[in-house]
Amino acid sequence: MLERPADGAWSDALHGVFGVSTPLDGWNKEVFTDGRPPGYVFLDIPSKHAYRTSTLPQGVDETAVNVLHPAVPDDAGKSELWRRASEIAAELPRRDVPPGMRKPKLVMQSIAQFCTLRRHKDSTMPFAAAITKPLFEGVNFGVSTGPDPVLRLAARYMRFEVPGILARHMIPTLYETSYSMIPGLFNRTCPPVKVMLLHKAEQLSDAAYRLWRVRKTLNVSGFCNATYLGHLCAAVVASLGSNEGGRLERLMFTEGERNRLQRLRQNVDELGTHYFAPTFDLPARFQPGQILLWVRKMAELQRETPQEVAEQACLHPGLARMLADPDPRVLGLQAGTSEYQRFLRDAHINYVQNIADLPGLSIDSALKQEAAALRVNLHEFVDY
Amino acid sequence: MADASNAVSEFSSKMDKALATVLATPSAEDRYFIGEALFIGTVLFVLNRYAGAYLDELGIKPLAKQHADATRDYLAKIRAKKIEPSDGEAQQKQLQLALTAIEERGASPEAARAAEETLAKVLVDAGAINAQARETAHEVTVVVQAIVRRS
Repeated sequence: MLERPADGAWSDALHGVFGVSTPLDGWNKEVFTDGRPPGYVFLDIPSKHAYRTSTLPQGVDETAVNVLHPAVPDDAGKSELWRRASEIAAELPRRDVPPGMRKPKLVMQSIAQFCTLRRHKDSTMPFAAAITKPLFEGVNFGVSTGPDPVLRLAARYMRFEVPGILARHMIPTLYETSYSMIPGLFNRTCPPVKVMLLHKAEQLSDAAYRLWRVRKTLNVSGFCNATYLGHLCAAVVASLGSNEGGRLERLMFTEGERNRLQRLRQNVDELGTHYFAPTFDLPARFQPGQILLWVRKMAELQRETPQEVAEQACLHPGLARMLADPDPRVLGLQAGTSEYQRFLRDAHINYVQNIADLPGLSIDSALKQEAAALRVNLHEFVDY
Repeated sequence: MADASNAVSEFSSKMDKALATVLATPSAEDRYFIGEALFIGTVLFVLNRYAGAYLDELGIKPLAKQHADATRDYLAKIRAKKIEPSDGEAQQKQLQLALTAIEERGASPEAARAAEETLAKVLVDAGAINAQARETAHEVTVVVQAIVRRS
C-alpha cells in the first residue's frame, strides 16, 4: 500500500468491507451474520467506484445479483488499524502532546474497552447500561447551565472514551427518557415528547451543518474536532429519525412531522457520507505526502482532477492546495528512495506552514459552541 | 450581458451534495449517487426559484409568473428522474431571461432579501436543514449579484 497508495487503499477497502467474499462489478448483495438486514452495493471496480442502497433499484434482477457474506469482525483489536494506532500511540509520549489532551496510553485503553462492540444497535445496550448512571449525577434539568447528561456523553465521545456507534444510539434515548419521565416526577406538564424530539433534530441538524461549514477555516486539529463533533450530531439526527419498530408512530408524529424528520435524517446521512465519514480515512493510513500521492494516482485512474478527488476525500484545504503544483515526477517516486523521503519531508513542512495562521477549535470550545443544540434543555419546555 | 451559464457554473461549485440529493430524490429513504444531469437539474431549480421570487419583488409580475409556471413541475420531474436535455435548456433559457431583467432593472437588496427568504422556505419544505437553506439562499444572492455586476 505504501508503494502504490491508490491500489493499496482500494484493495484494503474491498477486503476490509467484503472479507473473503469476492465482489464483482455491478450489483452485489451483502448478507450479514450479526442480525443486520441485507444491503446492496454497486461496484465499478476498474474505476474504483462504489455506492450503497438498502433496496435494489427498479428493473434490477435480484437473481442476477452477486451475493456476498462480508466478514463481521468480532474484535477491532485484531485489525491492522489498531496495530498501526498502537505503534503511533507508543511513539507519541516522546513528543509534545498539546495541553488538555489525555495521554495516548489512556486513550488507547478507553478505545480498547469497546473493541468487541459490533455495529448493531442491540449489541450496544450492555455497553450503554454500564455508563448511563454517572451521566445524570448532579444534573438539574430546571436550569440552562451546569452538568447535562448529553453534553457529558458528547465530551466522552470527543475524548475517545465512548465510541460513536454507542453515543449515536444513547443520546436519542437520553432525550426521549428525559422528556418523557422527568416532568412527571416533579408534577410538571410539558408538550408531547415528539415536539421536543423534533426541536432537537432541527437544532442538531443545524449544528452538524454549521460544523461542516466552519471546519475549512480551522487548523488541522480544529478541522478534525469540528468534523468529529459534526459527525456525532448528524448520526444522532439519523437515529432520532429512525422508524425502527414503528417508533415514530408510537410517539404519535403526524405524517408531516415524520416526513420532516426523515428528510432531515436523509440530509444528515448524506452530509455524513460525503463530508464527515471520509475525513479520517486517508490521514489514518498515510502521511501527508503519501496522501498527495494517493490523490494524484486516484485522479489519474478515475480521469478526474486531483482537486475533485481531494474534495471527495475531504482533505484539509491546507493539504489540498498543495495539489495545485502539477509536478508530474511525483507519480514516479518509489517508496524507500531518498527522493521519496525528501518529498514526504517537504510535504509535511509545507502543510505545517499552510495551516500555521489558522485558528483552532479545541474539544472544549466545540462542545461549548454547540452546547445549546446538544443539551437536553428540558427547562425550555416544562411548564412551571 | 449577465450569463446564465456562468451562474449555473459558479453556483454548481457551491451547492452541497447533501442538499442536491435531498432535492433530487422522491423519497427520504432513497440513498443513491445522483449523476451530473440530476445535479445540474437541482442547481437550475434553486437558481430559478430564487430568480422568480426576485422578479416578483421587483414588480416584474408577468415574468415572475412565467417563472413560477416554468419551475412549478420541474422539481417533481427531477425527483421522478424524467428530465430531458430539453428541460434543462428551457430552465437555462428561463434563468437567462430573469438575469437579463435583473440586470436591466438594477440589483435590489430588498429583492435579494425577499428572494432569499422565499428560496429558504422552499428548500426547507423540500427537506433542507434550516441553516443549510439560509446559507444556500445567500450563496445564490452572492452568485447572482456577482454575475449581474460583472456584465
